[in-house]
Amino acid sequence: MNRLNNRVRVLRAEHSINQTELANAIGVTQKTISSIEVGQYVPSTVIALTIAEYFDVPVEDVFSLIKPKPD
Amino acid sequence: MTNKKPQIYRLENIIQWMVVATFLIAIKYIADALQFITSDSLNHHLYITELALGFMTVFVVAPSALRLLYLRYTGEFSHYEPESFIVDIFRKTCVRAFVSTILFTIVVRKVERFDVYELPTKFTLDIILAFALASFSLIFLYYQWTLLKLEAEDEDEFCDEPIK
Repeated sequence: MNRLNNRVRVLRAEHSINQTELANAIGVTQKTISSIEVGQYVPSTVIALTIAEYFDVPVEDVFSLIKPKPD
Repeated sequence: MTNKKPQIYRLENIIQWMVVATFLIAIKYIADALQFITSDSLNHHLYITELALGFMTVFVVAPSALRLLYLRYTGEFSHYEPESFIVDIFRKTCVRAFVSTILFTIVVRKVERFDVYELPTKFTLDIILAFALASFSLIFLYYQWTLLKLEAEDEDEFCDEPIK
């Protein structure tokens, strides 16, 4: 099964903001950002697009699929 | 996009207090069920415990429930706001607690058939309700603990610290 990879942490570092600042800016909680970063929570399309919009990058630059290796 | 603290923090807070209240009610039902199998002297203590738990539950639930009703009344929650990790695990927990309660009920029903114990139906109902509520609160706490564990394992210097 495909897994979701994300670059939220990297983009945060590039923009020098912490989880709480990003969370407040896009209208979610710090725990939500944290759970997305560690791969515990798969965000909705709305959150994914909002994060991409905040960093001014296409959503594919933030989220991508990790495809399983063929046997 | 706004820089003020989102309303979702309030909703998450309410959900967490609701889970605490659910756990307290589960203990109340356990105390209720125990009254059928314990001595009269212990029953008195259980009754006092139940009363205390009842008051604690009202104390925990009432402010959260009133706050939720107020926010719904004032329309402070918009369509997209209830999207968060806590809301997500709340939904997952509801499903898992429901399934585990159904399985537990089937097991209790099977055990009852063999007349293993001669206790009133109220005892069985109390046990099932206690299981349903306790499983709900414990599964929710497990999900939260999983995130805390992952966060702790995730050694990164810029998690929630302001970046210089």
